Order: sequence, then C-alpha cells, then structure tokens
Amino acid sequence: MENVNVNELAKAKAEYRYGFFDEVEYEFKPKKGLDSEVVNMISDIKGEPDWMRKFRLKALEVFWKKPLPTWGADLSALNFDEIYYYLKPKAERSRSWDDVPEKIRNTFEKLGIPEAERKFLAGVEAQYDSEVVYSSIKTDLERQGVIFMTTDEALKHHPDIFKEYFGTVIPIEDNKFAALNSAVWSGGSFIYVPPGVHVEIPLQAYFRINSKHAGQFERTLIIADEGSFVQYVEGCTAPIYTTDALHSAVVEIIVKKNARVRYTTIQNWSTDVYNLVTKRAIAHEDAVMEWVDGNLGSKVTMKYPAVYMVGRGARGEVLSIAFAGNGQHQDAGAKIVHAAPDTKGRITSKSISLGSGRATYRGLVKAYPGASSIKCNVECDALLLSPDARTDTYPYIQVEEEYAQIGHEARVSRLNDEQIFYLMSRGLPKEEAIAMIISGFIEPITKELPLEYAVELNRLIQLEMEGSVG
Amino acid sequence: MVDNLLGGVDLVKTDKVPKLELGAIETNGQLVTTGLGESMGILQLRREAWERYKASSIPSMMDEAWRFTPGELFLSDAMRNKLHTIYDANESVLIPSILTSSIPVISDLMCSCKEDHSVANMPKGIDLRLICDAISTEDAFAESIFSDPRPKDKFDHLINSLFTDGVVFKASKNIKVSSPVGIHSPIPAGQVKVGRSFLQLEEGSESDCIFWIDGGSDDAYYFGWVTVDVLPNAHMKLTVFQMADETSSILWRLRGRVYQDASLIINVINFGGRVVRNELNAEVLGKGATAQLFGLTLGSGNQHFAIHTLQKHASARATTRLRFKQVFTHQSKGVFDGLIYVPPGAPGTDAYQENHNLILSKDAKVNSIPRLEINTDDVRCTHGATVKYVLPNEVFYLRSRGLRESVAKHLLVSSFLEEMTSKITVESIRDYAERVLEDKVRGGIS
Amino acid sequence: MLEITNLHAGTEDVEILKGITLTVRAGEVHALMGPNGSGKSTLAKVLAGDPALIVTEGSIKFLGEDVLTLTPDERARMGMFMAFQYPPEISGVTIANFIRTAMNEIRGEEVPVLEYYGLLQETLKKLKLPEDFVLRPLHEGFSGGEKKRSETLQMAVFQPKLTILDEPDSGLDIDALKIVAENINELRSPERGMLLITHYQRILNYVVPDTVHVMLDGRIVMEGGPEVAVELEEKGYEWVKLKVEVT
Repeated sequence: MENVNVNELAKAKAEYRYGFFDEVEYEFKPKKGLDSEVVNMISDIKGEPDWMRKFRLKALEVFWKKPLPTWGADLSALNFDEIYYYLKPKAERSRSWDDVPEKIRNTFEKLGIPEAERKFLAGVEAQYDSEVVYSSIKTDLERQGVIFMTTDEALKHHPDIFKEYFGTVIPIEDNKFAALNSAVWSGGSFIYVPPGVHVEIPLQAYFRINSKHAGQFERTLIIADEGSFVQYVEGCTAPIYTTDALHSAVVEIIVKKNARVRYTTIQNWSTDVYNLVTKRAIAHEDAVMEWVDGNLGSKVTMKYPAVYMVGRGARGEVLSIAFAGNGQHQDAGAKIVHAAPDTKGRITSKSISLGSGRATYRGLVKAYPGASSIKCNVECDALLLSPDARTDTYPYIQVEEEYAQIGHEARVSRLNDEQIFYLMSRGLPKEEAIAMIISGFIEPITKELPLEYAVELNRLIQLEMEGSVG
Repeated sequence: MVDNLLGGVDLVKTDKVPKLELGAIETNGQLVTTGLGESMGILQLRREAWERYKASSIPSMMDEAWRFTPGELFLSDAMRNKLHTIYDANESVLIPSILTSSIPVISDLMCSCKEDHSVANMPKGIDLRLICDAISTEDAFAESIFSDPRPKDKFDHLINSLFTDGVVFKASKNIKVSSPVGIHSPIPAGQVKVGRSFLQLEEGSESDCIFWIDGGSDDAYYFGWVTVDVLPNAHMKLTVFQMADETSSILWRLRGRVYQDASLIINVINFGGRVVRNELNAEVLGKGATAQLFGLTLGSGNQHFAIHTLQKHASARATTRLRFKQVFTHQSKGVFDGLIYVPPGAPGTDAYQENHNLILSKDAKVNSIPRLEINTDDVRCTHGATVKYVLPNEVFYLRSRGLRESVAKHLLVSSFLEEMTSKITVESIRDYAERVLEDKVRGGIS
Repeated sequence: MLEITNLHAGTEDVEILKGITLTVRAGEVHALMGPNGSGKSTLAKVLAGDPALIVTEGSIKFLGEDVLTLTPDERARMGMFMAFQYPPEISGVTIANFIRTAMNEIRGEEVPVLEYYGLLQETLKKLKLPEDFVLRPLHEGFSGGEKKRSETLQMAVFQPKLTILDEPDSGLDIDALKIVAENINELRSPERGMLLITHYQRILNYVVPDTVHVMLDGRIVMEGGPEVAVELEEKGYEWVKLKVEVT
C-alpha cells in the first residue's frame, strides 16, 4: 500500500492548484461567519485539488439557497454569522483545564475516566497518547489492505477512490446542513475495506483521537467492498465539551454486495450545541447495514440515520436511543428505503424524556414500485419521567408497491409504580429501582453496544437522573 | 354500479331559490342571504368570511397536514367557475329509498324548502331543522356560528362565507333515542355544495345519526363542515356514509367536542369521490369523556383518499380510540395522517390509534403517518400501523380448501373490512354497505 | 417479630382493612385465609409498604420497630420479604442481575461474583429450575407458574426473617406446589416467621401452620389451629359468613 500511496501522492500533487501548505506555518486568522473567502481559505490551507474547491464553492451556493427545514426542532436561535467555520488546529486547543465547567469535570470523575483522557475530551489537550495501541492495529490493518485515516489524508493519499465515492451517497443538494458540511468539511474518518476482508476489531475514532481535525464539520466516508465486514464506533459517552455552537457532520457509507457494516455512535455534546447530522448508507445486494445511534447530549439534535437498500436481499437496521434532559430536544429517528425486492428493514427506537426535555421520533419507511416482497418493522417506545417532559412520534410510511409488509408500533408510558414498588420491596432504594427499570428499557440498544460503552451509558443516565426523579 | 339499488323519493321543489349568478360574494352573498331569508347582519359576517378566505393562503405541500393532498386540488379554476352558479335548483335530488324506507330522514339542501320538509316523523325530543331555517329565525345562533368553533383556515372561511346547506340537530336534555335519524347530504351534479351542520346533544341525551353523502356527478365539489357537541353524560353515535360519484371532489371536516362522561362514536365509511379529504377531529373536554373513531376506506380506479384525524385530550382522565382500515386497488391512493395530541396537564389520558392498510395492486399507493405528541407523563398512549397485501400463504390455505383464487382473495379482503361495516346499526343500511363493498372488492380483485 | 395492631387501610376512595390485629412470633407460621375480596392481598401489600395504599389507623411493628414510615426497600433491608401474587413484568432486566443487585442492597456490601453465582446455581438446582431461568428478563412472558417460581427462588436466596406469601399456590400444578411448599418448609426455623396467605386449604397439607386466621370483609373473624383450615375446606366460606352473622 505504501508504494501505491507515494505514486498517487505524486500524481495528486501535480493536480493541486496551490500545492501543499505547511499547516503549522500558515498565517490564518480565524473569523466568524461564512463566505466564499472562508471556503477558499479552507481549501487553500488544506492544499486541496481543484475539484474539491469547486465542490465546496458549489455547496456554499446551495447552502445559501436552501431554506431551513420547516419541520423538526426549533432552529431559529441558530445564528450562522456567529460561528467559526474553520479553526486552525492550534487555536482549537488553547483552553486550560480550569476553564472547563465544574459540572463536566465532575462527570468525568464520576465516570472514572483517566486523567489524560479527560483533558482530551474537554478539549484541553490535543494529544492523547494512544499511539502505541494504535500503531500495532494500524500495521494489522495495512497488511489486510484496509485504509483507515482522516478524510483529509485520504483525499491526499487516495484521490481516485476518494473521488469515486465522495458525495455520491449524500449529494450537496440533499439538505441545507449537508450543503454546509460539503462547503466547510474538515476531518472525519475514511475507511476502505477490500473485498472479503473482515476487520475483527471495531475501528474506533477513539484510537485516533489524537487527530487534530476531530470537530465540528467532520466528514466520514466508509466503503465496504464486496463480502467485507467492518464495525466503526464514534463518539464517547463522556460529554464532549466544546465552545462551538454547531456540529454538522456528514457520514456516507457504501456497503457493497454481501458486505456488512455496523456504525455505532454515542453522542454526548454539551447542552448548548446544535447537532445536525446527515447519515446515510447505500446497501447493495445481500448487504447488511446497521446503525446504532445514541443521542444524549446537545441542545438540539436532528439526526435520522438512513439505509437505502438498492440491491436485492439487502438488510437495513437502525437502533436508536435518545435521552432528552432539561431543555433538550432530541429529534432523532431513522429512514429505511426499500428500492429493491426482498429487502428487509427494522427500526427500534427508545427514548427517555426528563425535566422539560423533548424526545421526538421521526422516521420514514418507504417502498418504491418494484420493491416487492419487502418487509419492515418499526417499534418505538417512549418513556416520560416528569410531568413537563414531552414526546412525539412522527412515523411516515410510504408504500408504492403491492407486495410490501410494513408494521409500526409505538408506545408511550411513564414509570410504572407497581414495578418500582416491586423492586423496592426487594431492597432497592427508589433511585436504584428507577435506574434498573430504565436500563432494562434501553437494554435492546445497549446490548448492541461495545461493553464499555454500554456500562458508561447506563452510568451516565443514572448520573443525569440523580435528584431529578421524585 | 350500485345505482340500481337506489329508488327514491323526490323531495326537491324548484323555483324557491333564485339561480345564483355570482362573481363575488359582494353580490353572491347578498343573493345567498336573501335566498335564505337571512338578516343583513349575517350578510356582513359572510362578507368578512369571504375577505378572510381571499386573504388566507392556500395550504401547500410544504404544510405537513397538506403534504399529500395539496389545497389546490380543491381550489382549481374549474371549482372557481362553478362557484358562479351555486345551485341550479332545477335539478331534482332523490333521497335514496334505502334511507326513507328504514329511518326518518331529512335532506340538507337549502332548496329542499322548509314547508315541504316533513319533520313530523322525527322522534320526540329531536329537533332537526335546515340550517337556513335556523339562522333566519335565530339571530344569536346565526351569529355564533361564525366564531364558534373558530374558523382555522382558508376552507373554513370559504364554507362560512358561502354555506347554504346543512342541518341543525338537537337532542333535548335526557332524551334517549335509540332508533337512528338520517341526514341526507346530496351533492348536486356539476355544482359546488357548501354545507355547515351542527349536531348537539344536550346533557344526558342519547342518539344515533346517519349522515349520508351521495350525488356529485359531473365533477361536482363538496365543502362540508360538521360540528358535533356532546354535552356531559350524553352519548352520540354517528355513521358517515360517503358514496358520492367518482368524479366529485370532497373536502369534509368534522369537529367533535365531547364533555364529561359523554361519549361519541364516529364510523366513517368512504366509498365514493375522486379526491376525498376527510378531517375528523375529536376533542375530549371532560373527565370520563370517550371518543371513538372508526373508519373504512375502499379506494379503486383513480380515487385519492386523505384521512386526517386528531384525538385531542384537552382534559385529564379521558379516553380516545381510533381504528381505520383501508383497502386500495387499481391506481388509487390513500393517506392516513392521524395525531394523538396530549397537552400538558392531562394525566390519566388513555389514547389509542390504529391504521391498517391492504394493497391490492401494484399501482396503488399508501401513506400512513400515525403521529403522537405527548406532553403529560401519566398517560397510556399506543399506536400501530400496518401495510400489507393479501398474503400468498393465506390465499394458498383457502385454495387448499377448495376456494378459487378470486374467491379466496375476495374473502380475505371482505373479512378485513367487515369489522367496520358491521358497526352500522341499521340492518338494511348495513346490508346495503356490505353489498357496495362486495361489489367494489370484486371489481378491484378481478 | 410482626405485630399488627388495629390496622385500618385502603385506597383513597375505599377502606379495605377495617381493624386487623395479628401477631407473628419468630419460629411461627401463620396462615391467613379468606374469600376473594376479603382484603388478604391488601394486607400483604400494606405490610410491604405499597405507596398506593394508605394507612389511616393502627400500627405495624417489625422486629420491634414501627415500620409505617419506612419505604418498601427499608423494610426489605430489615429482612421482610413479600412474595407477590402477581409480580410485574420488567423488561430488559435479567433475574440474575436483579437478584444480585437486591442482595447487595440487603447485605449492604458487594457480594463476590463467584459466591453469588455459586449460591444461585445451587438454589436453581434445588428448585429444579433450568440454569438459564435466571438469564430471562424479569417475568417477561412468564406463565403464572413461572412467576411463582421466580418468587420462590428469590425467597430461597434472600433467606428473609419474615416471609409474607401472597397466594403462592395459585396457578400451580401439584408438582410445582410441592416444590414451593418444600422451600417454605426449609425456610422454617426458630428465627424466622411466616405469613402465608391463601384462598384454598390445599397448600396447608404441605405447610402445616401453627395458627390459622380467617378474614372476611377486612376483618379477622375466626382464629385457631390447623383444624380451622380443614373445617373451612369442608364447609366453605359461606359457613363462616353465617357463623359471623349469628354471633
């Protein structure tokens, strides 16, 4: 692989308009707001090929033209002029540990997160020394021909494969925030798994969190070639502290024939962030795509991981959990699109609303003409933990095909007094009884998470609830 | 197809109402008002409604509730042109004998004039009059209907400015009438029918109504708005039977309010129409109130049905139930958009919503959107929706018992829908509904 | 061990218990019998501290302490255990995980994992339950009999000081009934007390009580030795009603 890279690199370099820039020495004064100058500057700093610059500028045009969504969460307080669209890596990490709010520091402590990691998560330190672990895995992966690097690196080192797939799953025009991301994206992960290769360990953003570009507008592209398997885990259950008000990522996944991809996200942004993410996978013949999506943090989340099944026999599954605490609105859900026969879909959504929190399930199941003998099942459960909490369910079922079987079920309930009494009569204090009922409620999702994430998720929910359930 | 089943009694007299040549409400409202014997005060209210109609925007596909049935469908140039002639009263309209032979019935046409209408055979304690009679004799009532319930959109304003047809049904306090009363709501051929009706059950009363919509040939339109108030401890059963011509466009809204310990059961059977939009809102306003909405839609040919329902829990400890079953064949399209809305402070709410769809052809389309908005934690809310086809294993099972394929399918479809027709209380009407159903299903399968 | 004095309790709307006085001493097994609706289950729930029920008068003392102000978990940690007639279903929580959490709470310290699973397996074997029984979510999809076995399992693991059994025999076939009875008998000891609530005399063939109380319309109307149960089985509750009316 290395040899190929060098050649590709040389070729790509010849195409570059500005050549390579040394990121560290580049004089860049961050400015708020968005215009073509900012977009050009991002492209300059990164030394991107011309097609990417054009792509970004076109996306910017689309971004201006597209209206904000008329549905979903309230985005009226979002001010696009007050946001930094690109920050130089150094400037990003200039905060000191003392600036991190006490609440977040305490949470880190309660979760038992190692000191070094805490500082990284709080955005204090860019370097978290996982280099040793990472490099051994990296060697393994490289031997198998797996490409796993930041999306920026991939654009430089694998321009052909990059250009072939980039923006094909989520076009610029898809929605306003996909357009925004396309204009200013930076960082994210690029994964290519060659045919037949099974990556045994889950690839985690965790292993490469020393990458400088983790941030606001990351762009992830995963290609699982025929018969391959890969699992990717992003995010962390510990709150990610940031001063950025807007997080708008795009994740594109191509699952080729017989391949399988599982993408797990646990999002726990601090509660002033607008988290508006577009995630979509295309599943070809007999391919399997699974999204496991957990939303805990942020002020507003709008996120509906999608699977477009375009090949016969493909399967798509979305497991989603949302936790809406005081003042939070989690507008999350899923999209399952049947565009080929014999495809199967499943959506399982669980939400918990607490305080004045609002959890919304918004989903689409669509069967196109010709997608015969398809099946899809949707199950939504909402749990309300306080009188002021709110939950909504907006499931859209659109069927344009005779031979389709689609089922949707939803339930809204509050904590069951009888269950609490039963557990208490066995010696559990009330808060623990409630926590146990809740962990049971979300168990269908947590059992699909890597163990350490599941444990942390339960602990975190317990923390969030402390003192808030009477 | 089923017309031969309809005999009829001609109740419509001509000449009572001037043929209205109307370009705008300024003249046409006056004519309506004069024709109906209304006061000039009412004319003013109609004018204001017309101004609001003109000023308000057409609900577009951007509007969630109109996404699948854009408002333009009902406001075409053809419709506007038809508005110029509200009624050509020379058309005679028949009340189907299936109604006249089974139950006391009134036709809601303004031109089926007062003195000709025999309401003598209405059960005691039931006051059933044409809306034009009611508003020309009761000023306070006439004025109140322009503000209660509050008009909400362009179509409400249109209806308020131009309505001519409709009835006012009142069941007096503690009157219990178990035998059903019929309201016949025919759509004159090629014209625009605009109707408002009020059904009110006073405390402790009970009644059963059949609201029958038919007619509507030659691309007719129907804009209808029915208000149902069921006061404490009263119980109302309402069957809506819609079998208008398949060239008609129908926008028909029902807004029900159910008070403490009262109950309202609505069963809507939709067979006819080309484009049909039904809005069924049930609001429960007191402890122990119950609203139940049932429905059956059978779409064939190029029919488009949009059912929009709202179960609103404005009070604690109330119950709503909803169950809609729909079948679509040929190129027909169906939309079910249902919402359970529980505002803050409605503990003890028990709400349920179910929508089942059966698709019988490759060109049929279904959209189902069963929504929930819950703002109170002490609730029991569940909903479910399914879309399926006639499953081969079910057909196979029946065929292995000797049934021909078409018979097997027919049996499965009829039994899917039978639950809804079986709720019709009048036997002859139930039989009739089942025959229409059979007929349409047979046409849809072969 | 348990002293109930003039206990009046019920829901917000109705008084169900109309002055119950009953004492269970360590080492004793008391049977509480009565027809449906007489208030037996209400008494069991009030003893366990069900917040849905309100005590209006009287007192409950457990191990000499007034427990009326204590929460259900505090009572459980003191050594009280009530086997529910209809234990609720709690999805996603396995029996194994639940029992372990409860044991930790009752003991006030972490029970070592190996010790815990050893104990659990031993108890399962004794109850003739399959090992994977405890991997199932708490009562989800359980038959009536399976729910009773889950309750018996917990009782055998927790070894409570006072056991209140609310109709442990309902819905059980004769084999299952014998196993449940065996476990109840095994738990009998000079330090423990038991209150066995039942509609039928059947289980009392296997668990012979020291005292039998008969309850009718929220009151205890008859008391005696095991012979009361036998007489009751023969003559039925109508006989009790008549007898009460006469006196």
